Amino acid sequence: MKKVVMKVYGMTCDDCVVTVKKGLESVPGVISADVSLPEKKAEILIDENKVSPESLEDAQVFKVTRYRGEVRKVE
Amino acid sequence: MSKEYDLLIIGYGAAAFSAAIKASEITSGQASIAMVGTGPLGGTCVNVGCVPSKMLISAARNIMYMARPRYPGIEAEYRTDSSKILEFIRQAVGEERHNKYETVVSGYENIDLYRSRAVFTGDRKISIEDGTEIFGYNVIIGTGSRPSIPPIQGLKDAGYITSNEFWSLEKIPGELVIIGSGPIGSEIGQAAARIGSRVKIIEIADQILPGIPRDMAQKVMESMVRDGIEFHLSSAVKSVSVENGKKIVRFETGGLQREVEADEILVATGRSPNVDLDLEKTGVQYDRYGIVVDGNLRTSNRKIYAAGDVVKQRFKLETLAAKQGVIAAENIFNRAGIMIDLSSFPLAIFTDPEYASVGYTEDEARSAGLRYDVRAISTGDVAKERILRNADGIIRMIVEQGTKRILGIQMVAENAADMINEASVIIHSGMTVDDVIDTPHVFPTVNEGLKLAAQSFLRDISMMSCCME
Repeated sequence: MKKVVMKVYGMTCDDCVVTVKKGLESVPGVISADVSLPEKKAEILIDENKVSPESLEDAQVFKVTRYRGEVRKVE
Repeated sequence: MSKEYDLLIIGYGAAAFSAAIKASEITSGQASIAMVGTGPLGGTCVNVGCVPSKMLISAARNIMYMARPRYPGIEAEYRTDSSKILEFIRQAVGEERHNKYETVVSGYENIDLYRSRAVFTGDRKISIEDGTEIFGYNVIIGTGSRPSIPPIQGLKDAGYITSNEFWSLEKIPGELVIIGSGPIGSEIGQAAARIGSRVKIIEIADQILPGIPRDMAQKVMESMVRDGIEFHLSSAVKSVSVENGKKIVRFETGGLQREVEADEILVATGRSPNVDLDLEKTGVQYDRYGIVVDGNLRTSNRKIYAAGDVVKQRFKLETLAAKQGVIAAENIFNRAGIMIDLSSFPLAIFTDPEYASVGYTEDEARSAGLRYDVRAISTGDVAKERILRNADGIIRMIVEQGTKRILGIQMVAENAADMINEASVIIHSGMTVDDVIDTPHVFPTVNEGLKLAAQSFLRDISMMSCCME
């Protein structure tokens, strides 16, 4: 299991947080996602055998909405 | 002091501004962006490139219409004052810079501007002159280019100007020697000649505007000769000195030693990328031709992109720089994977007549082993060009055999730079000769030349009435 910290662009309200969280948690291999509006970031727990940190940047939620995500740290 | 940004852009010219604005749009203004550059905001194009040169060309074209009216019954008396023209251009450039760069950037709260030289000190980390260190999670290098100066004996001591300094002159020199007949030398040279300067151009190649089709270069040169310009082709400048207050330029033509004198020398022998950034410290590969990028504009450091004149590529064009800035931002923040196709990128040279091209030239099509047909028409075949008394140009179209898809269009015509935009749509859309013929064009317009060039593949256009579909 790894923790991935992502910068998330485009969030302006609590609904945005919910959308990004749901979007990330729908990615196979993502265990949980904790999304912060004030910090504009997401902390995601992943099973690295099922999903790579970099591929989270291509999650559907970052492709079909105005939100964009960028991996900043992998622990 | 140390700062971090989501995007660090080195440079604040055309590529940098495009990238910053696009990155702001994609991220809803939430990407923190640093732009770091030197010199006046906006870079080469607005300050010492396209904008002032096209103003000078426009002023010179006004003079030409008075000096050589195209219709009988018109005579004009006029005087020129180049100091007033240059002063107006400086003022207009200042307004453009203020309105389109200074005001624009101040409207983006997410963009911080640093006016300083920058050098890399580590991976994606730069240092600026006041000691501040700036780190960018993503970096775009858009530092542009500068005039390259050939190693000519005595040139530095005698003094010279480039297209950077030309606009600061109090007046256009009475006698101007230009070394190099590329787009910059030819555009400024022709405008200066029309404004009253005695212009001599020394070119090492055997044609002006090296690289464009020879017959088209010849058309442009004939026009420039009519403007009074003296050309020395196949000539290599050997030395420069100052004698009795005049600059003497010595050159060799076919083994003969020759010389011309001038009040000022304009060096216009190409441009070099601004790569003096300690790029080794951040793992970016480059050479004296520019930064090496892949098709997505990504450098050898995967978090660093490059755009515009600093890139090692065939063209140095404002339009291309702006496009690449946008693409770099899209590829970083949208992970768009956009590739730029230089082979179908339009270019224009603003001499009179203008030269413009998009897609393959005939030489390029031949070298690439393509099976093609080619037709060329005269602008004299186009009704509007005859009305404008502007019949001395060429429109050439290269078409793929079998499919009739248009591969390339070149033209030398008074309005070629405007016409090439339709040609660019034709090439980008993959249109065929029949598509162009089927597209209604307003009569009489110069763009009908493109339709006529397409029709010339099907019939003898000399047997057509002037507005036949």
